[in-house]
Amino acid sequence: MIHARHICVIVAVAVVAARPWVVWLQPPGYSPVSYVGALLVGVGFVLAHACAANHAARNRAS
Amino acid sequence: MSAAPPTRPARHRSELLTLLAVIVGWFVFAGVVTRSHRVVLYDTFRDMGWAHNMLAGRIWGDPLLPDHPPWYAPGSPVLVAGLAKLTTLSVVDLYGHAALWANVWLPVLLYVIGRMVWDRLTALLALATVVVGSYTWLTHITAVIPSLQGVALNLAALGCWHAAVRSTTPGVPNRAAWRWTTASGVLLAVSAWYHPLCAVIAAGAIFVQTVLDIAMPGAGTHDAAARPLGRWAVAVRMLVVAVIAGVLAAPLIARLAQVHAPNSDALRFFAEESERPEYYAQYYAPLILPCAFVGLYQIARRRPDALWLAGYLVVSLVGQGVAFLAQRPGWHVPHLLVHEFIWHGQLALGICAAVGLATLIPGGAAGTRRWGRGVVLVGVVVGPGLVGLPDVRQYHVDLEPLLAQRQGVTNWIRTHTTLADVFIAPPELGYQVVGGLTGRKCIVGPKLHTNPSVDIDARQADVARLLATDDEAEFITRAARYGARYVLVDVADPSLPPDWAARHAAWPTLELVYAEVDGGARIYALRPDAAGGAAR
Repeated sequence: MIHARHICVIVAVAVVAARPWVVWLQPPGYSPVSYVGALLVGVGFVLAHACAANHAARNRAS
Repeated sequence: MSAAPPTRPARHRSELLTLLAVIVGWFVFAGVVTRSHRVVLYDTFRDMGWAHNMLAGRIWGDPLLPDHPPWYAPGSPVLVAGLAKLTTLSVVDLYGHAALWANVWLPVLLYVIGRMVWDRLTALLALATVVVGSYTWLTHITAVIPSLQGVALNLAALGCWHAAVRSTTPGVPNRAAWRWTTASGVLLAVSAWYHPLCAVIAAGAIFVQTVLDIAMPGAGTHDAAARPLGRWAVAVRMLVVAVIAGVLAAPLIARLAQVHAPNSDALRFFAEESERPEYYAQYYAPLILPCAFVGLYQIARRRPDALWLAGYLVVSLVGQGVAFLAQRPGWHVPHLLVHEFIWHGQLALGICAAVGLATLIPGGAAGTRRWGRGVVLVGVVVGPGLVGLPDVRQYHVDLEPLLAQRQGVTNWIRTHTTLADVFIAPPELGYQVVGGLTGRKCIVGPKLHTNPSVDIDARQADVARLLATDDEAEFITRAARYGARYVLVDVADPSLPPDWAARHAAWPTLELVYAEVDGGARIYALRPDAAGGAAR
């Protein structure tokens, strides 16, 4: 079963794996805006998964 | 047979020794970086000039322009003027060594915050993930500027906030919760007086945590006994913090709201290097990012009382994003100083990465950690950041050569003029020597370091004309507009004609009162009688 923490790790690895391509090569359309935007999406993603896991844990406890 | 856990005094002793080691480590690091010279940043001259004025009782006025109210937060000059009064050390010496005694609070509070959020290992790791893992931090952590030093006040305010929120968690004693809440509000206000943008980001972090707490509560944090206010417990604390900070910072907010800024360049300043990935990204230590995501996940799952870190990160990223957008053609969005959002964001990323690293370091039997693998992991994640080490001094202004070169000039100015006297001087010379080193007044300084409520372009044009004209009557008229009493020039300055001194030697208006022996600096007094009262 894929756990939320696995998804976080996958996203994180994907960000790192993609990073040299987006930062070092700087393809057309790349900018600091897209970097910051990707970070914001990543933060939202991680928070959403953590909160969903919290919710599930609370339901199990009750 | 297992060893007995350390007693409370032993734990406290151990914590204090660790903190002492952090402080000693900082003094060694900062001492090497500054080479034990008096070192400031270009911005520091602005605060230095104000501290000179405060020390003489001229507290609420622009330090550089005569007869103008202040436009900058007074926290740093108040601190230095107060210390100068207490210690009899000079303002220049205190600012020159502030990288040691003022910036030391950054690693100290970073350690304390890491300790509060997770554990001691995290606290120590945070020093590496923030300072080494971020090129921006590595090149700025010794910067003697309120916008960076204010981060320490943010950490103090958020540490108190953390303790206040933690007291709403089931199983945690609810002692002193409101005292922590009050302390958080007071420190947030102090942060605002030191540097308003710092406080804005800290307040935003608290707000985001409150929203997250209401909308997406952590597991088991809504225990009715521990949180008599239910899901609004954190929101009520936020309101108390907001009221305290708002009341205490109200005079500053009112003052800043009154600053009419025809020249808003200082507020909208966009440091060019901010668009370089070394600065806005974790360029040299990219593994900080996945570690930060792991840490953020762990915090949200296990320590929701530390979710202000997520808020800090979100607010900083939004601030960066807006400022970067504003640089694109067609995007005329209001924005503030992007470089500051960058270092706040990378601070939050670094602390999250420390949490992530601490949880990723493999554990062994009986709760011990496998330190060998841990060291390798930290080395791989943080080590590449050391590539930026040769650049740690790139923003420093070494005061030693400036003070040695201008010693005669500054001594003469201090001895023969008052803080209210106005100098005609090229903006750079005026800003650093007249304003920064002696606290005297000028017609104008550099564009980004002059009160934005005046027409800086017009004043700079006036100064350029005053120094260029051969028409004495025109000189007298223009000088009279600003009540100027002295002229300070460096005749070796290539922007002045080489025969500047000879051309003005015959002017009855100007009396040469000081000439540098080994340099080109000259001070002329404007004769009131010859100037037809211009100097008065």
